[in-house]
Amino acid sequence: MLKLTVKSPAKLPDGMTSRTLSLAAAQGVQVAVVRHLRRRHSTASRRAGFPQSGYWLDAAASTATAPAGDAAEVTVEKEGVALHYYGGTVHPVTGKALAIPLDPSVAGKNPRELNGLADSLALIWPKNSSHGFLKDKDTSNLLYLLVGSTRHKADRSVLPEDGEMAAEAESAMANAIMAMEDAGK
Amino acid sequence: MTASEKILQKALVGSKLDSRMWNGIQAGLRDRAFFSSQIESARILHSARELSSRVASGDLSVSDFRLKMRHALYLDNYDPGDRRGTVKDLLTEKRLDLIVKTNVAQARGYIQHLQATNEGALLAYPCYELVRVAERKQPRNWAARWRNAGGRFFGGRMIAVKTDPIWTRISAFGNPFPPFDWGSGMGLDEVGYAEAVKLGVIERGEKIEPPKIDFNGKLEATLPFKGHNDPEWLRLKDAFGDQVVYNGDAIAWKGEIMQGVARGEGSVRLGKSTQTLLSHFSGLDREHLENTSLSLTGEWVAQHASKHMGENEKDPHNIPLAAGDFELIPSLWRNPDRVVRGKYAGSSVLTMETFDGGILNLVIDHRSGAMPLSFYKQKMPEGR
Repeated sequence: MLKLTVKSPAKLPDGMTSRTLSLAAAQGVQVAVVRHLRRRHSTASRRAGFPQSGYWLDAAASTATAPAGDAAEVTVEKEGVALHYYGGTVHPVTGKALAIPLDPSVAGKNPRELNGLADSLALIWPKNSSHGFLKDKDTSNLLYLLVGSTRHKADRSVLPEDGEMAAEAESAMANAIMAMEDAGK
Repeated sequence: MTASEKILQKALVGSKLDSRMWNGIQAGLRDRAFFSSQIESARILHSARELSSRVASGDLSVSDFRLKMRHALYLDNYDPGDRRGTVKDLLTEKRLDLIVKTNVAQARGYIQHLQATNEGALLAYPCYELVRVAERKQPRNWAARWRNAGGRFFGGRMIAVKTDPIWTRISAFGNPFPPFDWGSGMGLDEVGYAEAVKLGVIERGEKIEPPKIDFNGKLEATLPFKGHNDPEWLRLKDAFGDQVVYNGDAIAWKGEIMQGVARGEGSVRLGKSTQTLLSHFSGLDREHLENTSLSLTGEWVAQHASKHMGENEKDPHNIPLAAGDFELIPSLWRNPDRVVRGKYAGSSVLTMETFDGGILNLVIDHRSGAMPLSFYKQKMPEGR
């Protein structure tokens, strides 16, 4: 969850509460984040031969914002987005290694899912090596790279720049004030 | 409310209805049900609901959803029969993805719409624009669908006020928010007040009223109960049996009543002992149980929730109960996996394994008219 503080105008039109204005500003932040994540989806580079996962579109759909005093809280409820944004090291939780798909046919699939279906994978882990592989027993194709952990750099471009979010929030507030003033005329 | 909470709020409704027949059920009632085409098992639906909510909160990947669902299907002795490998087979990736992606997308669409139609958001952005957000190999003709549904174009763009009925009319699901159809790739963008006025979508000074939301923060309209001979009521009873009930002057799901009981409100009668349950008993014990009903009160549930839910569960052999677990009590009563003797004379433990490695235990006194004694979730013993 992120908090973004936006400036609100000193004077509100008659009948408009600061709560209403905060809701408008929060919606502005939401609009900026959703548009940004959709753009990220359309420009994201794809590994050769791999299908487009729709990951960032999913992130856009999971975005929610809520006003919090003079700030707006942004939440993106999509697994892995926080890791992309803040960076960090991932260690295996259930198994002994992390599996990174090498073959498009297993993109987005947990190897346990494949083994659970047909016991179709064979493990190759060379002695003293830091990594191993899972291969298809039938075709001998290498399907996954196995590693002990992965490190990810923080990527603040996952979200729009603060200025972009603040600009959309301010535009939303200006629109809300204009709508309120026009309705009162 | 979050998308995850929205999913958990839905009542489990098992039925033989396929998706086309489900679409014939009024949206107000359908949207409050967690269902999947032709799935009757409460355990499967319970697993799908709880796991979908975890995908919606970002705690579980879709791949792990499939993995855990296949385990739940195994526990339920699921056999696809002659549907094996088709989209009707719950073991397939395609069907499991359909279940989780549809439920999560609808819950997220609902939450974003709820937020986008609050007072402040409506003032700032009174209109939606229908836009393509994902490319499709063979895109449907949405402009024609928009036009045929009575939608207007502004500078070639499909824009309408957020509360306009056009949004429900273009939806295959009868909802005013995305997804509007299976794998459509269409979504919504927001149009600000100044732009909406400039384009002529709304008039200057026109105020858009927020949609009505009930006391639970829900947008869905209530379906009125018009009497026992109302054709709509008879149709629902025919399709859903005792899973559909009337609660005062509104039609509701029994699962919703169970959710109320799980919150400590009201009471519910779960019907008479079934032949499946009775088959676990013999002699005098069976005689005691025949023709007896199980009733639960909110007070009883609250008492057990205070012992076994969340952080209240102190027994290291148990898994904390979740609110949704209480909705499996009717299935435990009708169709338990096993029945074992309880610690006390005259008590029996009805058990059901769940997808999360737990065993639900409902303890009843079968000699006192199926009086409920306890409800908790045990950890599966090692090696099972």
